[in-house]
Amino acid sequence: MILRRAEADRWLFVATITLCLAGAVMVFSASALTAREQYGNSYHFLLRQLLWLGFGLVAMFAMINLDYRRLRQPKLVLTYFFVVLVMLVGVFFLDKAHATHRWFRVGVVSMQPSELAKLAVILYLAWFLELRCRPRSFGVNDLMHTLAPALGLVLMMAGLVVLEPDLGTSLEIVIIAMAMLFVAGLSGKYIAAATVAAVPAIYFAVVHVSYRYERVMAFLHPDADPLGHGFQLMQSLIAVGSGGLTGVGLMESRQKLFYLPEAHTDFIYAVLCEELGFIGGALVLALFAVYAWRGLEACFRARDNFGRFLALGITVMVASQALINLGVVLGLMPTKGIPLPFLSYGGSSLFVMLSGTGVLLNISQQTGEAVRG
Amino acid sequence: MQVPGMDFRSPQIRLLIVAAALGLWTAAAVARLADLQLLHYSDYLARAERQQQRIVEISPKRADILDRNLQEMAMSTSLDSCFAVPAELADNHLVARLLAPLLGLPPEEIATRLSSSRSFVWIARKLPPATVARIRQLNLRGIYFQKENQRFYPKRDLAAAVLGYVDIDEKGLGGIEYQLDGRIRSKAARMFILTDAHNRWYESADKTPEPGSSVILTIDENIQFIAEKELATAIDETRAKAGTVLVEDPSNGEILAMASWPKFNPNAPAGSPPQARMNRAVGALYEPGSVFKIVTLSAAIDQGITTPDEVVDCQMGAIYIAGHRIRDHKAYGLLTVSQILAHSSDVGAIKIGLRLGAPKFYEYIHAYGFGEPTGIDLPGENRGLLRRVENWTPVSVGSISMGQEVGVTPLQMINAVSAIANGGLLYRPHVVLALRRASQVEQEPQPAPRRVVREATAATMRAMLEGVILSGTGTKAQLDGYTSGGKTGTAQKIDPTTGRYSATQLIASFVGFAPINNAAVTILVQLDSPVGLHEGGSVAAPVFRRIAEQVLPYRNVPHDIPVSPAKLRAARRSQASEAADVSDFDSAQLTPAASSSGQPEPISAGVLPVSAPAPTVELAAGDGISIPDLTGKTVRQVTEICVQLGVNPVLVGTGTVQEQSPQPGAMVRRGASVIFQFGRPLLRQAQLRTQAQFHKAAR
Repeated sequence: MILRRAEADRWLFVATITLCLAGAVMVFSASALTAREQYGNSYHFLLRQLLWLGFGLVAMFAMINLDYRRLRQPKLVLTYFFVVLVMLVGVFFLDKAHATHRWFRVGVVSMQPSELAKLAVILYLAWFLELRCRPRSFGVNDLMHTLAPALGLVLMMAGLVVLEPDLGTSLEIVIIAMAMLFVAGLSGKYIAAATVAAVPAIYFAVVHVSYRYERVMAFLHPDADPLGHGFQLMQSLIAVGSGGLTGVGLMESRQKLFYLPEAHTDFIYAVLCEELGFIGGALVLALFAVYAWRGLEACFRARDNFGRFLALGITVMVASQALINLGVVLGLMPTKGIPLPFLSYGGSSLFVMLSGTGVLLNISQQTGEAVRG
Repeated sequence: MQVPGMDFRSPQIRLLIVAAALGLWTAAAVARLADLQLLHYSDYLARAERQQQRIVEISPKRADILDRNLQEMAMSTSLDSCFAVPAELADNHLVARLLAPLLGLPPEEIATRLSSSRSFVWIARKLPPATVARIRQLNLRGIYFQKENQRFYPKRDLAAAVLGYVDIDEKGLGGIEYQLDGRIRSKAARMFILTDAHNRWYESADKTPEPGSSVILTIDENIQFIAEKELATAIDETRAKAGTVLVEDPSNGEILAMASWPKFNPNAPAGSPPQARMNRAVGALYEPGSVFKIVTLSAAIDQGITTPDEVVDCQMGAIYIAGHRIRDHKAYGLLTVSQILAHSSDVGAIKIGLRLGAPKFYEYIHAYGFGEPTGIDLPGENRGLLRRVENWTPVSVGSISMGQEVGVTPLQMINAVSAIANGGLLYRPHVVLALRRASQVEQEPQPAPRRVVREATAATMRAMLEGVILSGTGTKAQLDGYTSGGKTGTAQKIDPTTGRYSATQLIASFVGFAPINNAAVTILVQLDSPVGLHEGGSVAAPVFRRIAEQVLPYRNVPHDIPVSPAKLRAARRSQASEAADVSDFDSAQLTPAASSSGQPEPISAGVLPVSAPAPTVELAAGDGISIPDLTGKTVRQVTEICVQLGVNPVLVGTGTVQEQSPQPGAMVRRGASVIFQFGRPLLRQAQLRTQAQFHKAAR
């Protein structure tokens, strides 16, 4: 029962496609030299990014045309959730790449289950919270029947991601879950309790893992050790700062010449800022702002609670991840390996983001007003 | 849209809170972006450039140094230097082995340099073009070339002490090259290399340097040549250890020639000992001896204490001062003050000095510029030794009266005598006439002269100094055709081991000027430790004469007394022979014998043979350089072509190339000398005409 009552949100669609195309260009610019050096082909990363962009757009259009309410089935939600959970456990039995267990290979295609985990959490919480928010149900603030099962599964997921180790993505999962619970009506005392509980958790996760501690120290004092742990941050700031108002020109970045680590993935925004300057950097920020605005608008106008929670989860996923990445690149936060949605090189991330955006666009075209009209 | 069981107000507000949180975060990001890219743009740009760019200093192009007739004394040509970008090299040791035989360096040394972690290393600088071509043929990755400038002194050791020299980076290390380094060298001659984080070189840009200013000297290369030639002859004859000749224009303080012996070749400064690179005229102190009596007597006359005709008892050669007995070099009885100067009586000078008194005497010594730098535009000037009058001992006045207990530089001495020659004015001596930048000539400003003695005093002194030459110790300084004045000096050197005056080590000197009225030149000749004949009057005075008799006609100074018939005949003969041989008019001067013959020099103008070692032209099969025909080329063109070819040009004369040896087309080995004879075919006729008219007038 596909109901085409309104058009999908044009602003959201245009912002998403623009970010993807800018991403493809920047991935090429940032990776061409590295690609030629490592693979003998300047287009190595660009071609893979375009391939995944193709997959992602197919998934997005599929989702636009699939009524989101058909996702509200326990079978589907829980199956997806547990498949991802199994994959997250499975990566520990596979080879390490970059000293981490992040990749799950199926044939020639590598997936990062941690990316899939974000969608799994959103879908699960949207389904579960909608269930609990129904009349005569337990409500959000029931510890036994709502919070324990909701947070239990989410924290299990996040915990597995932390072990990969991928603190950034697990933090992301927690942020999404907290935002969804918050909007669903979590009472003040639980919020306070969670905040208090978070302090020692973050303390142990940071201070007792030496590289994270050093990254935090490097963030606080980047000049103390510019060639050591402060190197990444310093190089990122130099890239952004030397861009100035108009940038050094597309493809002209110098910082990508091995000064900036992960130039085409986590620090692609630094290359963009260097090449396109304040104008380019602010424009990308504006596109993410448009995404967040239209996403929250869709959430606000969603015809049911499931759509509302789903839209909120997807919007927070994209917006918060973008802002965390920018925070790292601009030196507002300690460095954390987290890609910039739509722009960074990385198939899984792009695929997940575009699929989610497809769902969001479907929600946006089935607004409350449209039902009445 | 009411859904029962859920509090609606709350989720909407909470949604707004989430939106507000995202909005704040976004605002913070925008603010930070603006902070980095707009407010601190220049800081980060500087940091980026610091790590991305390697700046390599390349030898800047130095502007020419010209003599007062705009003849090149120092010029720059360009040569290729070879450098490596170590990160781009495939195999350091292979590259080192390939380059070693071409550069004549041990392979290990090259390998060490290539294994540097820097992004840029020089392998060899300023290479001959043939070597560059061979390295290029190897087509090695990571080996590059950069054009660099090479200083060249076409006149070799001529005026080397004035010009100075440069190091491999074209930085001035002596003389004018050092003094005006910042103005001669071009600004910001740098090569920018952009490197990646692995120190690989991927782009470079030469910053176009701003050209430096050419320096026009007061030195006249012809007078300089005469001075150096006569100094060399005198050194040869007297076997002196060292010597100095200065020629100054007394009317303005311009130094026309400044010659030091020993000398050095600025093209290869490392090949000579440091003392040879010293400019003795400004840096070597000596006790002037009797020459200083000029100061003593002029001060007394200026003060009205004595007159030239006053008779003084010279006490038969001995005087007691403060219990010390000072002996004269000869026992004189009654002498006039003029005669005291003419015969250089120590006792007479002491008595006049004592009458003058220490404070007044000191005042005049100071006024003449002793004990302080003259302010000449050359480095390494010595201020001299002059104790303050408060520190004088009772013997001091007497000692200083006859030129002891005081240390002067040759430049201070000649400048003081110039003040007598020009009527009592002390000019600041200088060697820089003007600076030229992009055809705009900027005169070097000179301070106004300072009056030392009254004009009448100077005139009296000139007459007395003429007496020295006519009937005193300086008769060997008598000129043919010109009046002259001067003073001899023979001073004992202080033996550095005993601290006492040495009996054998002397400094013989002569300072004089000509003609007596309207003096055109002041000339100082100073010889350090001549062997055998050692009095200033017998060894230095003849050098003065030989130089003056060449320089005065060259400067077109009219004769003020008759020229001796013998000299006229010689002049006519040389003129006739010159006219007969137009293409090689100064060939006679090329042979060193002509200058040491003791015969009066033929009067010839604008002729500059450069003393050069015997040319070694060797032929070697396979490695020959064919000499092109350079007839009609200028000094600069010839120098550039020769540097490119890799042969050593020996430039003789001024003007354009008239002849060359070996002949065009001959094959010579690398580094061989090729002699180029310069001349001015058009100017020559005019010169001969002027000379002929001049001699007619003199008759």
